Amino acid sequence: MLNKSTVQLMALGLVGSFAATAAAQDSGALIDALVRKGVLKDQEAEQIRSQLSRDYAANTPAGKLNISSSVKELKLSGDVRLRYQYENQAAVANSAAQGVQPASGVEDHRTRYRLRLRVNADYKLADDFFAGFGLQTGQNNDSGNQTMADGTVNQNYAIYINKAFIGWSGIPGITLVGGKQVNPFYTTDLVWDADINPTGVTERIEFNKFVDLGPLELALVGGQFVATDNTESATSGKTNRDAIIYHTQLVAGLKLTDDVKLTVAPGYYTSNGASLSGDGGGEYNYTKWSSTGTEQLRGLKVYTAPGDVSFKLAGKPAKVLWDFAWNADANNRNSLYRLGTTGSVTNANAAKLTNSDRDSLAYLVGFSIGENKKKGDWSVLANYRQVGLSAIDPNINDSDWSLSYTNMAGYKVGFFYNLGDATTIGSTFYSANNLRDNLGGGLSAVGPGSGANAVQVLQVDLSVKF
Amino acid sequence: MIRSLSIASLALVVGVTAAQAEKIIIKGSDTLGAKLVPQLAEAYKAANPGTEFSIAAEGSTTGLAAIIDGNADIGMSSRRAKPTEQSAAGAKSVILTPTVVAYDGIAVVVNEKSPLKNLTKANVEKIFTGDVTDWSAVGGNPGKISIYTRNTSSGTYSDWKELAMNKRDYAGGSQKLAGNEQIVAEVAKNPNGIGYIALAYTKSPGIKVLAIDGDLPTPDKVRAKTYVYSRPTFYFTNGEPSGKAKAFVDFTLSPKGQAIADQIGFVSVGK
Repeated sequence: MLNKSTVQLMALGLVGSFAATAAAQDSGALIDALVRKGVLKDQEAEQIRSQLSRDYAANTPAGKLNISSSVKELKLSGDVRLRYQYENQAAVANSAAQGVQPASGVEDHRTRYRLRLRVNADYKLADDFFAGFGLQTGQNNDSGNQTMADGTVNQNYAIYINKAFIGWSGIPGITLVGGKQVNPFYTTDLVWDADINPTGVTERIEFNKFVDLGPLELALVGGQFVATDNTESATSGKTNRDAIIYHTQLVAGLKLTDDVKLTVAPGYYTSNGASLSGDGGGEYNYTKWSSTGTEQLRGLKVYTAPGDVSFKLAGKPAKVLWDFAWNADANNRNSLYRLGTTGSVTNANAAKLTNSDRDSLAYLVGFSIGENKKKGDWSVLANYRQVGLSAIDPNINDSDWSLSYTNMAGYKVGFFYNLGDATTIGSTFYSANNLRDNLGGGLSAVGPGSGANAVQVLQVDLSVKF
Repeated sequence: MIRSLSIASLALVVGVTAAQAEKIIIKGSDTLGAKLVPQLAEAYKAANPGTEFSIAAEGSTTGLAAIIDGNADIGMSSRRAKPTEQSAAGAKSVILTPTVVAYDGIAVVVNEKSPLKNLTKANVEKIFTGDVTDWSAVGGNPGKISIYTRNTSSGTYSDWKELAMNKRDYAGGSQKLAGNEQIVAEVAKNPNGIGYIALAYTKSPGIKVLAIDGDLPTPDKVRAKTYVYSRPTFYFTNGEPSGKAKAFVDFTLSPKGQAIADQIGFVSVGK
C-alpha cells in the first residue's frame, strides 16, 4: 500500500518525465487522466499542479522577475537603428536671415551618422488599466535620432522620455489614454511625423462594440494635445493660455473580400490659437521657426482625409494609400507669415507673394508592397506629395521629407530587406522642390515656407528590434 | 486592592488580546465568500466562541493577492493560481498552497421566459465570444442576446474563458457584473439575457438553468466531472494550513462543514 507522499512523488515524477519544467503548464491533461484513473485524488492533483506551477515560475525567466501583483502583463521591447544621412538643400535667395539678401542658389550639403535607441515597457494592470513608458536617445523634441559625435569624439548621449502614459479600457469599445503616448490617429506622414508621440489625452470609441455594423468597422478618435505651456498671467492674449492642438477623426474600415479592405479616416484638427512660446524648446520640433514669431499654431483649421486600399499582390501584402489636407484658414495663416507684405521685413520678393489656393492644400498618393517581419522579407514604398505653404502644421509633419518644409512638392521612395527576423537594412530617398521659388517675407524667410528651393535627403538604415 | 485591580486589568488585557488573536481574515472569491464561507464562519463561531471573522468577497484575484501580500489567513479562490501569481508569491517567499474545499458547477442561465432548455457547448462559446448575437441562431426567439459576465478580478471570469470559450475574448458588448447575485438579477429582468453563475445561485427566481449538451449541473455530474463546466474551489494558504487557518480549513472539510456546502448548493468533497 502506497502512502500519500509516495503517490504524489510518483505522480510528480511521471508528470515531470513527460513535461519539461517550462512546459509544466501543459501537464494538466495528464494529471486529469491520473485523477480519472483513481491514481490521484483531487487534492493530491491540485498540490502537484501547484508544485509544477511554482517550478515553472521559479525556473523560467518570467519567474525570476519580481513584478507587482497588480501587473497582469508586462511587455518589454525596443530597437536600435544606425543611420547614414545625406542632405542637400538649395537655399532660397533671401533665406539667410530676415532682411539679408544672400546670393541665389546656394547649396548646403550635410552628411550625418546617426543612431537611435528606443526601449519600451507596456503594462496591463488590474481593473482594466494600462500604462507604459519609453526611453530613447535624441534631442529635446520628438526625433529619436542622435547624431554621432555631435560634440566631442568621446561623447555620450542623453536619454529622454518619449512615452509615459496611463490608460483605461474598462468599458469594451472605449479606451481613454492620458500622457505622452503613441499617436492614436490613422495617418500618413503627410500630416503627422511617425516619430511624434503627442502629449495630452485621447479617446477612442469603437462603435462595433455597441451596435452590429456588419462588415463595417467604425471608430471615433479624439485627441487634445498640449503644444506649449504658457504663463497664464501673461498680458498677451496669445500667450496667456497653454497652446493646445485638437484633432478628431472618424476611422471606417470595410472588408470588401478576404484580401481587400478599404479604410478611410476623415478628420479635423485645429488649435486654440495660443502661441508657442520661445524657440527650440517645448513639445514639438519647431526649431525652424523664427524666434520673432509667436503665431505658429494660429490659422490652422485643417480637414484631413487619409485612407488606403489594402490587398494582396503576388502573395505579398500591398497598399494604395492617400492623404489629403485642406486648411480652411490658410489665407489667415499666410497673413500671419506676412506674405505679400513688407512690414518690418526687407524682402525684394515680398510684394509679389499673394495668397494662392495652392497654399491651402496638401495631398499624398502612394503605393507600398511587402512586409518586414522575418528573414528574407522585403518591402518597397513610393509616394508623391504636394504641401502648400499654409496647408498643414509644419511642427508635426514628417521631418525627413523636405526637412518638414511646406510650400514643397516631391517624392519619397524606399526599400527594406530583412537580414534576419529582427534585423532590417534599407534605404529611403526624399526629393522635393519649392512650389514657388524664393518665397520669402516675414516668418517664411526662415520658417517652413521657404527654407529651401530644393531638398534631397538620402538615408541608409540598419536596424534591429528586440 | 490596587494589586488586585492591576491583576484584573492585566487579565482583561490578556483576555482581549487573546480574543483578538482569534480573528481569521479571509479574502477572495465571491462564489465562495458570498454564501458558503459566511455560513461556515457562523457555524465555526458557534462551536468556537470568541472567534471573529473578517470576510471580503471581491474576487479570486484579490484572495490570491492577499495571501501573496500577507494580508489574509485564507484566500478564497474559484480558480487555480496563475504562473504570474506563483512568481509573485515566490519573490516574497510565499508558497501558494491550495486546498480543495468544494466542487462547483458553473451553470448557464437565461430568463425563465426563454423557450430554450438546452445549448450545445459550441453554441455557448459562440454566444459568449460574440460569434452569435441573436437568439434565433441558437433556437431561441429572435432578439439580440444580452451577455452578463463576472468582472475581471473574478476567478469565474477566468474559468469561464478556459472552460467554455476556448480561451477566447468575451464579446464586446458583454456586461461585467460584480457577483453571482447581480447576474441573477439582470438575467431575471431581461428576456434576452444570458449569464453564468455558481451552482449555489441556481435556485433564484426569474432564471432558468440550461442543460449543456443534455446535461444539467447536478451534484453527481459535477462531482463526477461529467458536467462540462465543473471545477474545484479552493482555500489558498501560505504553505500548508497552520494555526487558526488550519482549524477553519479542517472545519470546512469536516462532515459538518461539507454538509453546509451541500446545503448551500456546492458539491462536497470526499464522498
